[in-house]
Parts: sequence; structure tokens; C-alpha cells
Amino acid sequence: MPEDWIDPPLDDDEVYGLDPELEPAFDPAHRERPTAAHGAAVLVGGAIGTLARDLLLRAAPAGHLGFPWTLVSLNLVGAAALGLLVARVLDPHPHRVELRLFLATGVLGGFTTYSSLVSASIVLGHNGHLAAGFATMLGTSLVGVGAAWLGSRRRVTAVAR
Amino acid sequence: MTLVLVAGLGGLGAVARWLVDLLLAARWGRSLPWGTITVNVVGSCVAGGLAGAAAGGHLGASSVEVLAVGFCGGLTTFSAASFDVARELDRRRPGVGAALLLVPMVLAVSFGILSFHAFGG
Repeated sequence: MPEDWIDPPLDDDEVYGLDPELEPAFDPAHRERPTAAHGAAVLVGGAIGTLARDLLLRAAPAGHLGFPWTLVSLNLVGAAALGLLVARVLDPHPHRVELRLFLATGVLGGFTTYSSLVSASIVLGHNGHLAAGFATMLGTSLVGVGAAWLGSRRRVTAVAR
Repeated sequence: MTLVLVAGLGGLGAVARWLVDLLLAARWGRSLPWGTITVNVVGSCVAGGLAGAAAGGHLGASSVEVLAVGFCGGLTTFSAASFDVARELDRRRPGVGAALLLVPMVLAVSFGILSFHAFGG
């Protein structure tokens, strides 16, 4: 009986059968060693993204019935932008680790927020607008997935041509 | 001054998110985005408490802005959470995608409501 009749243990990528086209730059299996420069990229990017979000929220606070349109919109824009960024820039250039940390982890991670979406939904429900609370949380999350997915389509422009 | 603090704490929140992600990925691998799930649930719980404290009149508007919009906002992320689900759909794992969308959401909202009320909301 040959020794190797049992398959060797699979690593994650084999188990989950990643499409090579989707081979992640964003969640690299190649472990990165964090450096101070990486931390600085995340810090500065996160500060920029957070500042931009706060300025937008200040400029356009919650509207009718306190529905957080600005918060919802900026999250959806950020989700689409991340899809676009990963598909167009980060996946084609998997070794630009600092660029990914600055733009994806930092700027877009800081620009978008999950906690404010949750607390805005809770406050809506608390104020008697339960349906608006559900719509804010579940609706935004579902549309966010669609936005990220659409943003990451590489051939959308080819179809439009 | 508030804006400076918001930006600074937002940056620190983002660094915390990055470090939690590295730590959990080293421990549990990257087949699931453990870091994003964790920071989103924890950050939402904290933000729920801050919103409760604000609703109860225990916390001023600029403190809420700095802590909730700044730190919790920088710590948590909507873009990566959405993208992670979209990627599971691309991998033809809709069940994993649905779980990745719903489980953190239920946890975040539940803990958020608990701390909203615990802190005076």
C-alpha cells in the first residue's frame, strides 16, 4: 500500500477552492509582517476617512423622521468604492500592502461605519420608528452587499460600451 | 478641536481594527473575517451605550461625536463587512455569505440594545 494514498491536509485556499481570479490581495494568505509604516498608513487613512464622514454628517444631519440618509449613503458609497478599489487596484497589485492599508483599511474603513448604523437603528426603534430602524439596519446591509459586488465587477464598463 | 479629536480617535480606532484583524487572523486563519466581525460587534455595543447615555442626558453632544463618530466609527467598518459578504457570493458560498451578513448584525444590534438601556437610554 503506497504511503501517500491519503491526501495531505488541505490548506484553507484548497478547501474553499478560490477562483484564481479572485485570489485575494485584500485578505492575503501570504502573512504580512506589520511594520510601523503599515500602522502609520492605517492611522492616517483612518483619520482622513473618519474626518470626511464627520464633516458629511455635520453638513447633512438626519432628515425626515430622523432617518439617517447621510449615514446610509456614505456607507453605501464606501462599500461600492471598496469593491471597485479591490477589483481595479488591489487585486492586480497584491504586493502594494501599504496602499491597501492606507486606502482600504484606513480611508474606506474609517469613512464607513457599522456602529453608527446600529446605534442609529436602535435610536429609531426606541423613538417608535421600528420599521425605519429595521430598514436602516437590514436594508442598508443588503444594499451594501450589492454595492460592493457591483463595484467589484470588472466588466461592467465593457457591457456599457 | 472636536474635529481634531474625532479624526485622531478615528485613526486610532482604525489601527485597533487592523491589529485585532491581524491577531485573530494569526489565531483562527482567514477563512472567515473574524477581525471585522469582532470589531463591528464590540464597537456597536459601545456605540449603543454611548447613544443610551446621550439619550439619557448623561453625555454631551461633543463627547458623543468624539467617542461614537470618532473612535467607534473608526473601529468599525461597513465597507469591509459588505465586501466580505459579496466575496462569499462570488465564491458560490451563499450560506456563508448570509451567515456573515446576519450573525454579526443580530449580535451587534442585541448587544447594542442591551448597552443602550444599561447606560440610561
